[in-house]
Amino acid sequence: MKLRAKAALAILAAAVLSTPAQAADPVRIGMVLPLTGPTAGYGKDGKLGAEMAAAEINEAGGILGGRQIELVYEDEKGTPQDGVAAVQKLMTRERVKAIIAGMNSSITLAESAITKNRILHVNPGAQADAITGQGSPWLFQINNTASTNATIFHSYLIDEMKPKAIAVMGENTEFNKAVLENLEHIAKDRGEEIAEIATYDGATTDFTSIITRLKATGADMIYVIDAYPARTAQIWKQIRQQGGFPMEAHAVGTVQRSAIVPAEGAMEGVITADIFIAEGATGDMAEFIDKFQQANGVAPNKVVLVVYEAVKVVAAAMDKAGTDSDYAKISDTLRAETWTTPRGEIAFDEKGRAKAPYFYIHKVTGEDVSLLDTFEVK
Amino acid sequence: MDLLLQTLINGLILGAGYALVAVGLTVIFGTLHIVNFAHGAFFALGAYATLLLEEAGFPYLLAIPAAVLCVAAIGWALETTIVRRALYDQGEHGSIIVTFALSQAIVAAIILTVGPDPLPVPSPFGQAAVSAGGFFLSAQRLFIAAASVAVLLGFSVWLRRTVKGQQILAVSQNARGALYSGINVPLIRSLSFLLGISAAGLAGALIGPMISAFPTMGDANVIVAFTVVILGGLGSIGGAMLGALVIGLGNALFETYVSVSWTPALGWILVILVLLLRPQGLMGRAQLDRH
Amino acid sequence: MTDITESAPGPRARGGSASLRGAGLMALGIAAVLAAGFGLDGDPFLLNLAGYTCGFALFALSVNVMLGGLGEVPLGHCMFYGLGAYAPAMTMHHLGLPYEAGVVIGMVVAAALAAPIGWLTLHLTGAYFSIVSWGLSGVAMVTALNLDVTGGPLGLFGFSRLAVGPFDLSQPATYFFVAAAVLLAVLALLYHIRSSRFGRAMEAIRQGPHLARSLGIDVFRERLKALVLSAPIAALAGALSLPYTQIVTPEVMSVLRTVDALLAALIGGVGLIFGPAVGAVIFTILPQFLDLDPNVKVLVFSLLIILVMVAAPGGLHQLWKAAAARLTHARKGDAS
Repeated sequence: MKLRAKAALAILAAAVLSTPAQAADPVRIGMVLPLTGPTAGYGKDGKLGAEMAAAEINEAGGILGGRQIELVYEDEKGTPQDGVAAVQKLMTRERVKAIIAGMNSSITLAESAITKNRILHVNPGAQADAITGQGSPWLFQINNTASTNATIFHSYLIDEMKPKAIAVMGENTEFNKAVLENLEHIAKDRGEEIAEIATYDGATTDFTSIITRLKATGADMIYVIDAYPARTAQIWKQIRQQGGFPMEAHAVGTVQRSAIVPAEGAMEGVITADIFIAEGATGDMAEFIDKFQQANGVAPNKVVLVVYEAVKVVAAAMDKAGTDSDYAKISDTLRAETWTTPRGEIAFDEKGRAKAPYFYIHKVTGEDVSLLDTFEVK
Repeated sequence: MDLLLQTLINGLILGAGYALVAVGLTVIFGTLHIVNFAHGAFFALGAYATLLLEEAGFPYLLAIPAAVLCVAAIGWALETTIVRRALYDQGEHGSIIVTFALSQAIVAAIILTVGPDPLPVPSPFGQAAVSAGGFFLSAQRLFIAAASVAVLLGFSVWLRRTVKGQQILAVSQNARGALYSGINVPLIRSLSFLLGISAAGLAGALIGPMISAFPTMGDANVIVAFTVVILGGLGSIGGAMLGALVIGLGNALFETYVSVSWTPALGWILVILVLLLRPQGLMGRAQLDRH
Repeated sequence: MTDITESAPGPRARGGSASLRGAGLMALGIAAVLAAGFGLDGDPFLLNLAGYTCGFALFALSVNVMLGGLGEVPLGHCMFYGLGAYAPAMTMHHLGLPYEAGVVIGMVVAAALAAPIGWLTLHLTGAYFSIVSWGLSGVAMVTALNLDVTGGPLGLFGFSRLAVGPFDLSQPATYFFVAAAVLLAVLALLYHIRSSRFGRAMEAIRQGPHLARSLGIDVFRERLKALVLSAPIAALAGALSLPYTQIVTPEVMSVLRTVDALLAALIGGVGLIFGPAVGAVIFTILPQFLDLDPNVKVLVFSLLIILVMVAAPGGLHQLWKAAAARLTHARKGDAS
């Protein structure tokens, strides 16, 4: 143990003393992802995105005068406890310079209580507004907030599709709560009727009765809020088996091939939305998609993209601020500049929230989504 | 009225599916006194085996029995290497830990070999639904219900009418007595374990097309199966069927008419209530003092 | 099966040597804690983890009161653990009470709740008891998920002050020493109980309830006492996990938590007083040093557990005992 402590001290000393002249030691960035458990698929995708970003940065000569990026992975296993443990381990034992953590909103909130005022934390994917709403000066978010996304999407659903009444079903989670609050607010504003809201537990094995109950309300639109691919597929299959609804929608940013493929066509025509679409990509985005496809043999999805962007933004901000540990300076730089990503230029506001330049309404077509409409985010 | 009818149909069909998952658990408990926490992992293996066999060119209806054989083969390998040595006559402690560890290992192995993303298990019934008089019935669900009833009835008859079946019943009623009357108890135990595992695999092969194949697909289904089995009485096949119907109908009615978010508590509350009135479950034998 | 128990509460004459042995073990425990505390100096992560491990060991001890004491598998014990974690979180969050008060409230509520729960469920034995106990924790989890006072699916987090008197538990070293002191105190209590009348009654029940009953032991009452004793220990364990987890969510009542504690108890040895604590250390610290892909880690760890259960169903110390027996046997062979 003594030896280990000494080694750690030596590393620390080296980090403190390092100048561009001693550029050998890498900048360690902690990646907290679900690598086991029911959401391990997101972790797998995120890791691919992170690896690609780090490889690009290192090939281009690293940051801060030639220092390489080194990614250190910890598994959050899809539970808040393990997420917190992972962050603590990365901060105190692995001595990383920044934390990239955030797929599930509840877990990210727990993690952000640990990172607050202690380390730079970039949340790539989780959407709940509460995460960036708690006033953490060194916390940044790549994805849009649930309310930004939901406001555009819910307005589209109500104003463009004009349903008479909406029936909602969703898992009992923080993400679901945030989306529902927004929907209720917008529906009230527009005088739209919400026929019924069914909130189910994560352990639910069958949705037939819930769908029967929702059909009995006579609603002409079903709106599903669920971020788990396997369950999303199962729910849409069961909706299809009960004859479907005239209008069908699924929550923003949660529909990917990993849900559409196992749904075996049952999601055809479902309306959803996201900050990313592969179809018709041009410029930087087309280049990103091509490069990822060549390296991994599959097309990138939103999770790949936001984790890739998170690593890129952290590295660029450290480089521009000229430090890997003066978080006040890095955060000021992050807020002051705009950052080039495959999606275009993004900027962070006072609360650390990035706004996607564009927002796309999708329709599930075949094994992927196709573009229905594009909004510029103001 | 229509809503009530549709709900009752939903509940009955749901119950038939639950019975299929539960029967393997109850067989293994009845003869081996093992609480098999790895049941869900074998359920998942059944679905993955079906999927892989279909990819290899087997039609679905042929892939089901082939998948059951694959799962039985894996079960046999594990039975001879681990289960036989660690579990028989060790009571609940050992069995809970070993089967739980086994289940974790199988799930991790699936993630490492096939990957974590859910995969479709194609079925010729696809997403087809039979609609009659305003009611909707999924073809795959009807197939599951029919298969479930056929398998459970066939199994009950086999247990009563054949020598091997009689021997299984004898061992489950009184292992020592069975041994004294010349029954090869170790063989019967292995056979029961394989039967239970195969039933889990069959359930996975049948239910897979509904819920797609993913590594942790067994977790939630097995929790329901546990409530079903306890409700009916551990070790009783009739009890498992009755328990499955009660839970299936109960869940469907509760979800439609009362509350969706409190439904997961319903099964447990039913179990607790029944056990307070009848500690051996609805159809279990009143023999609890093994300890 | 009986060879896994070391207790063998002997005649009264041996009482003196037993308490001497107890004092020796306690000294050993204190020495181990001090060595660990100062040895880990400068590694806040390991100190924090060691503090959490003490809490987890406490939970394993609580589970082992039922497992090693009564021979029952209390799958739903995570409910008391969760209650212990929720109580200080809720009282701090909603009532502004200090952490210590919440911990005490949690323990009292756990004991008070254990009595009616035990009265309802302890008539059942074996798998029936295990699964009904699991069911109750399932109901508790759904309740925590659906209520507002528990913070719903998000749970409660962002605690202002986690401290016991002057000891600030947000300091890793303090956290570890406080948790270790509590663990040692509970170990001493359990050691004392084992050699008491109640402890012997439990042992008699575990070995044969019918015989115990015929000896005039009120089996049901002793079983109930065991549950009411173990519930507040579980609650204390849950409360001690807070400085490490910094959050309490419905997931804290997941049956996986009980399974972890059962594993710790079984690996360390259910018949030994300190077995579960040793198992907990092996169980939480070891995986941190396995530098493998997380799924490979799960695979390796699960297979190791199975291997231990196949080779030494009474716990790891059985291997040691078997080796020692073989050695003495060989020596005897030489002499003759």
